[in-house]
Amino acid sequence: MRSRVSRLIAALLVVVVGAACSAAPPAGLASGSAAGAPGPHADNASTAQLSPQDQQAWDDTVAAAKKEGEVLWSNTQAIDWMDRVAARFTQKYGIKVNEEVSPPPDFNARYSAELAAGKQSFDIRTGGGPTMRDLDARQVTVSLGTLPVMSEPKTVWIENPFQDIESGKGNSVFYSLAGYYFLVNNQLCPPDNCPKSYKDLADARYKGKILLSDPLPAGGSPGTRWAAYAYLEYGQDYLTRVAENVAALSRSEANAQQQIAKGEYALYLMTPGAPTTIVGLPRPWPFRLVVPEDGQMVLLLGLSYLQKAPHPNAARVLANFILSQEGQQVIASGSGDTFNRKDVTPANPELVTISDKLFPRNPDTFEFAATYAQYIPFIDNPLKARGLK
Amino acid sequence: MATISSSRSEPRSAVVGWRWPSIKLLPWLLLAAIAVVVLYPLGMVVLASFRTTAPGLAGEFTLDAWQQIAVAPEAIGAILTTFKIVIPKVCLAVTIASAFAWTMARTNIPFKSLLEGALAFMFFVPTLPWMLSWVLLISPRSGFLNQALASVLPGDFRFNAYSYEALVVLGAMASVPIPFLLLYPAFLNIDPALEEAAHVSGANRLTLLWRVTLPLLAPAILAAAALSTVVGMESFEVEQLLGTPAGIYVFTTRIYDLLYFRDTPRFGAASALSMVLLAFTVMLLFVQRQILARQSFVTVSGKAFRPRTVDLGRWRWVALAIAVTYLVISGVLPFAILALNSLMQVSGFIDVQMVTTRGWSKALSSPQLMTAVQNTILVGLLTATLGVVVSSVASYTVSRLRWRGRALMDAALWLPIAIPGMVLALGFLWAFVGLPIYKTIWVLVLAFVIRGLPTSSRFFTSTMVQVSPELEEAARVHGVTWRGVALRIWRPILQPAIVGAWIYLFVIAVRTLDSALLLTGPGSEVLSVSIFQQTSRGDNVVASALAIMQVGIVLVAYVLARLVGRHYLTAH
Repeated sequence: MRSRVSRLIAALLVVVVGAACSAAPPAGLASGSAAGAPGPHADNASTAQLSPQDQQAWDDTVAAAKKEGEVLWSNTQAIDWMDRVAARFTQKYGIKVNEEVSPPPDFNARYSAELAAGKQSFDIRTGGGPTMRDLDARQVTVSLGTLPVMSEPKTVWIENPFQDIESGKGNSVFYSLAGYYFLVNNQLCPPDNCPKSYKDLADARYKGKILLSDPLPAGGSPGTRWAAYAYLEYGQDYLTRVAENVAALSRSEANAQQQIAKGEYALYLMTPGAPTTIVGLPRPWPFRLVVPEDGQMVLLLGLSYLQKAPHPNAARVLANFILSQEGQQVIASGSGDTFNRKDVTPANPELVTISDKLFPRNPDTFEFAATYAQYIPFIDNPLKARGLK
Repeated sequence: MATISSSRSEPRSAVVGWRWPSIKLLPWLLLAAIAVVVLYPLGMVVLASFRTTAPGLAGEFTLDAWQQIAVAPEAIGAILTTFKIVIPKVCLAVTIASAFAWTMARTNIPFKSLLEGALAFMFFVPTLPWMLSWVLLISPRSGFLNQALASVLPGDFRFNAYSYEALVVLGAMASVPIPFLLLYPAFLNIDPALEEAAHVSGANRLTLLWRVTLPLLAPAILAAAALSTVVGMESFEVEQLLGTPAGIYVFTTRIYDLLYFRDTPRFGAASALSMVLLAFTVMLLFVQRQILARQSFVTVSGKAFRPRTVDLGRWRWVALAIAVTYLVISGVLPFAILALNSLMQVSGFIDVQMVTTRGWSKALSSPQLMTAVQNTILVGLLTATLGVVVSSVASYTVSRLRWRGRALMDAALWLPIAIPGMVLALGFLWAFVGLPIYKTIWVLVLAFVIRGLPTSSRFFTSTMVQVSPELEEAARVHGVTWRGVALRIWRPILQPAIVGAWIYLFVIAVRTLDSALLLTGPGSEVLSVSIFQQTSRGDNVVASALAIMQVGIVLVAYVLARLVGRHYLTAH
């Protein structure tokens, strides 16, 4: 019997390994080369006003985009404003928008597999700044070329959306700026007995009150970025003491919000722009948003145009639309959806206001995106010591 | 007319010497086909465990991933925790399932058809919304059940959704339908002659159950336990939703971590950890084969019989009360919460003032969601029908024919379940991305048939090993063609297995998310992806409405399959 089993296992191994070796798709996600992409008008981006030639080129781009007829837009998570923008874009240009939602690992696996097989289907990718900058760093993105929105005055933007392009560091543009709040339950965290600043989170009075976004490297959760910024400002001892106050970790911003609103936990660090279904609760809300007194942490949300996009013209027209006043107003019309233009009117200003006072050492920069993961152990270790991870 | 063999040297009932060339060739052709579609994606997973990057990307061969998991205390801890949860969970699930299967198949419990249908239906409630319902019910502070029972519960005691106990008990409740669906046909197919003989010899009911019925059912119970153990090790949603917040990590949640929550996805380490799971499964399969090889379990022969019904007397009402209570707790309660949740303005806030049809309006008015519904039905029908054909024929070659490739076929049928769904989904992606069917519903059908094979084939083998070879031998002697044998002997015997496997495959196609997420494209969206997207955006109200639609689709398919099974598959 033993020899029969050995033969079976040996045969299986031979077949499995043989199948794998003979059938592996050819290696091939090109790195360091934008050879496959730009399509027409792939000049380096510029903030100069569109010249008549550029305008003509843009008109040609729009015409070509309409001929392409569709575009595949991928985002890191499902969001309402994606539906709204897609609908308005289709209405305006007659170009169908196929929406796709995949977290970074799914997207990376799929994108690289498609690229290797020569079946690229993605055109545009949106998501958090660190995720977009990771794509830039891996040289998966290409330049958007010259877009009409780039000719608008810089004063129209809350934060310069073309900062990475201008500094030559990446191809992502930033359509949104989101500020971090404390989301607190009114009953469990009344104003006179609730943290008012990031520093307060370490106070032993708040033991068992904090629902912490699990500090994770992939894409950078709110907890990750908080830990990095806070470590730089307050040091290891602070993070260790906050870990003592943590009641539980959460990996779902949507569920965490509901847990706070229902009174399961007292306080959660969150970004607006995350799903905000609890604002549908009747007023007075059982929760409130607190802007930390020691400054607000911020997150840029970005957009990238992908190598070998099958609909290069439609992709560029969509990117331009998302950054345009019309597109940004469509985004802002949702409750809690953040944007990056000053000339739009948000539906719910209290959910999207950016404080004048930013948290120290708070640059959501290209360099930070590449380094923030190194701070994770500083919060992970005390959380592990408490058996929370 | 032997009903059970006294020989322990005979490994299993087998039809020897079919002379039709087509029958002799069929197993090898089938093995070749299954080897290609099963082993190719699995080969990709194996390959990934030895590469620095995902298959398809420029990279090098390395053993780093294996070294990482060999020395990582987290990986070893996850393996130990998995067994700490799976063993009690499976024991509980198989015990409950066996009790229900026996009660409903062999006793005079009232309303048995209704109860059997209700318990089988539990299998079709999608796990994620079911678990979310339990979170709403037994969250420590805000759970409806904890609040409702606050005055009754002793001291500070609260049910806690985020605990080891919840993982075991809720995991077992979620698992019961699979062993039940496997065991119920086996209980129905027991020839009563042996039980009657024992009864005449003076055995009481307990002795009869312990000495005759249970040994006869050993293969089915072992198959159910083995399958439940593998499914338990592969289980993800329950552990992710309830275990992770409590710091409890198992195999699959660690693999998920490696794929989704590292600075770059660790395909290699995730694949390597999956290989460890695969090794455990192969061992389990080996143990099961060793146990079964020593016995013969033939109970269905050429003699017509009706299963002997045990009269429970007044205890039948107690049995009914227990069954109804279980069904209310495991099915009605969470399903009612899910239905109510779909009618609320905000998920989790169930209140008369919050009632709205927003969720349903949004679900029903979206053309994309309606396309997803149509695709889901189509993929379900194709997967279930194709899967039943493949798994029934493959099971026949494993359990009824003596041929050299039998063990290999058996292993190939098991393999897909040994790899966690999220890793296998990557294998499908890497393997199928180059095919013309990529991003169409056909690639989903292929992936779901492969995913369903391990369980759907168990439906057939657990019944086939009970059937005496004499039935087919008699048919052969009388010149019946293989088609006649299939239609006149196997069709009625396998009717419960066909219906069970068909529904199972339909459900796999309707609710599996990971493969759908990686393989669908514009126009081929399915409902599971739509539910994921709504959950991801935090709109669990719309997700609940879609989940109810998902359950509704399966319920209709379930009723139709049973009706068709009753009218066209049973012997007339």
